[in-house]
Amino acid sequence: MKVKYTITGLDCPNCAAKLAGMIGEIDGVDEAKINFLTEKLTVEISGDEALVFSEMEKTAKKFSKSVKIEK
Amino acid sequence: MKKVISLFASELFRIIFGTLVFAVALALDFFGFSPAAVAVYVLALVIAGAAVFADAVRGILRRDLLDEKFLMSVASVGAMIIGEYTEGVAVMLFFLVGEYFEHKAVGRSRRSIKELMSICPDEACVLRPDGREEFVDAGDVSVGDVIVLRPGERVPVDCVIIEGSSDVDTSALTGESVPRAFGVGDALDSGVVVIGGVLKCRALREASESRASRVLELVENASENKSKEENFITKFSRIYTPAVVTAAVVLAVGMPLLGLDSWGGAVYKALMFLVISCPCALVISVPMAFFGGIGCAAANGILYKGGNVFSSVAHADTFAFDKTGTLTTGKFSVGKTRAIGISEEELGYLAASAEYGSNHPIAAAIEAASLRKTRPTAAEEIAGKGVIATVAGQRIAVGNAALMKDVGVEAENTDGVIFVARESELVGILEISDTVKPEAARAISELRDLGVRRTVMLTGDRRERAESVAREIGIDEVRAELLPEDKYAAIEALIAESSRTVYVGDGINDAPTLARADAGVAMGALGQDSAIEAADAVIMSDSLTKLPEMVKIARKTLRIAKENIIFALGVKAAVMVLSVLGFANMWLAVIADVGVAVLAILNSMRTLIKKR
Repeated sequence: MKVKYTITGLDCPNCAAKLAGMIGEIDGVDEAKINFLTEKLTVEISGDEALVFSEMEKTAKKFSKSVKIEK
Repeated sequence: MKKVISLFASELFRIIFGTLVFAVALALDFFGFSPAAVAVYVLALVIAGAAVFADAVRGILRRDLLDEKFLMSVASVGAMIIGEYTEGVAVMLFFLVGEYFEHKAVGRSRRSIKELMSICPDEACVLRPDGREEFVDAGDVSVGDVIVLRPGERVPVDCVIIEGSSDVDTSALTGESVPRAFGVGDALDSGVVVIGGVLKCRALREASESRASRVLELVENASENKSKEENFITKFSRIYTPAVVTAAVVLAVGMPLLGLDSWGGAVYKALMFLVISCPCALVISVPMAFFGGIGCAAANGILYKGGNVFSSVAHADTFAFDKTGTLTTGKFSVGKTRAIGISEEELGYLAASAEYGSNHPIAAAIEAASLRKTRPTAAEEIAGKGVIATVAGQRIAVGNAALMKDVGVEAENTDGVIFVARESELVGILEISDTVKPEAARAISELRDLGVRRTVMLTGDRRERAESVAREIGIDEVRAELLPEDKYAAIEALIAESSRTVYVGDGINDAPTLARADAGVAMGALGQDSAIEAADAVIMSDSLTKLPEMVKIARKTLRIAKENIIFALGVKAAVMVLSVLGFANMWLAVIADVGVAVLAILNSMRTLIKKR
């Protein structure tokens, strides 16, 4: 299942790519892409969406406090 | 309480408060209270840099030592350790100010692009079966719902007009500023604006499937198809930062060992290297230039499917065109006529009457060519041949040579010619042609002014007609009587002889050719999914003047991207050289880093300015 989120608070495309890599390693996430300019996080999810979402939020907090993910 | 916390955590607050404390420290220093000053310097650094340090620690925890914030932390703390207190705090403050402006600039670019692309209305007014009007989210409109559109409103979903008529501004989709008249039975794409009357329309598609959403999706995805320049930046930044950090270490250790500098001086220089080791200016501004270019093109009715298409279009020296529907309108009209034994006027009357009410495009052209016509008492359409009708008691056959043979008339099979027979006698010949687009000649000459060296027409039509069109609009070469697979071969040959070849077609049976060209441009392909799929760029209106515009946007975008690359790298290289030679200080290094980033982003925003 492909889900799109809005992601804000990233500083640059490099950081976006790094965070996308970290999100991609979450269980239940098959693929994660962040478009820095459009502020869109696109995730291919195979697990439970709500669970994955909260994991993604935790990962983002681990990355930087300023990053926010919204549905 | 939460508000207060977020205020204290905000970037701007940290900058202001940090600067105030920094000022106190400077004052203490000035009046000779050195030990106290040091404590206040440290306090200023902590206030300003706490969030940066926190992110730097997070970076270390995920073993990412080349993170920008980590490098800035090392530089500022390093400066404090070697006793350069003022500079340590200044580095952090400058960095924050730079980041602040960088975020502002990025935010503004994003907003401008969004504005450019704000073609999806949020709400729709749905007319319920009981006559009630109800405002709902555009996303909640179902197929078959009746929606009411008033002047000034944007069409929320693809729909068909069932009541009313109005002028419609399609510029958001096509970039064409002249409004067009729409009436009952006409389909409206989402994103266009009703400017005249009130319309009732039946929804044909849901909002997410409608034109505006699909255009937006195409544009958003386009920023993922990276240009050569963007890929260069990504690769470059992977090498750049480690290289500069390594150079910093070598500098810090090597120069004192060789006796060229003191330990403190060398470390200071090395810290400067760390400050400028972030390729931020490039990694943000270059993709932003392309995104801006893509957004600007889209606002002009040109959809680029990726930044990678820009260079093919910008450097193209050969343009190849499909004829029908691309250089010509695709609508037929009656050209020269020859009446045999009857008057021209009578010929027009007989032919128009025989074709009266037919849906065939050629029939419609023949019917439209004569004002005087009557409904035939009988009419039979023969597929692939023409029509046999009874007009004023006479049997009239209008069609090609094969039809003439059926009614016992000798005629030589010729493309683009329609014969008219009364009973068994040939009474006239009509030349049918599709009309050349009025702006075609101007578009071709503008392309030539832009440096396009060779223009070629590829068509299935017969040579004579193709050459006359080519002469009329100033196309250099004609390849006529081509089958679709011949077009493909022709494009391959052109590619081999050119630096870059652009093929412009309408996507009807030339999808493989569109895909094969260095850049395939589908024109007027609003409804053609196969064309949108195969093409590298889509022009949403029918106007050929979009082609030179498209080239200009591509060139401007590439130029701005290159300016940024050269400017950013140039300034950083200069600062590195100056710092090794001992002519630069930390302040200059920070300006070289964040200042350049801000300027480069602002430069990238120029791609959004559209010239009409």
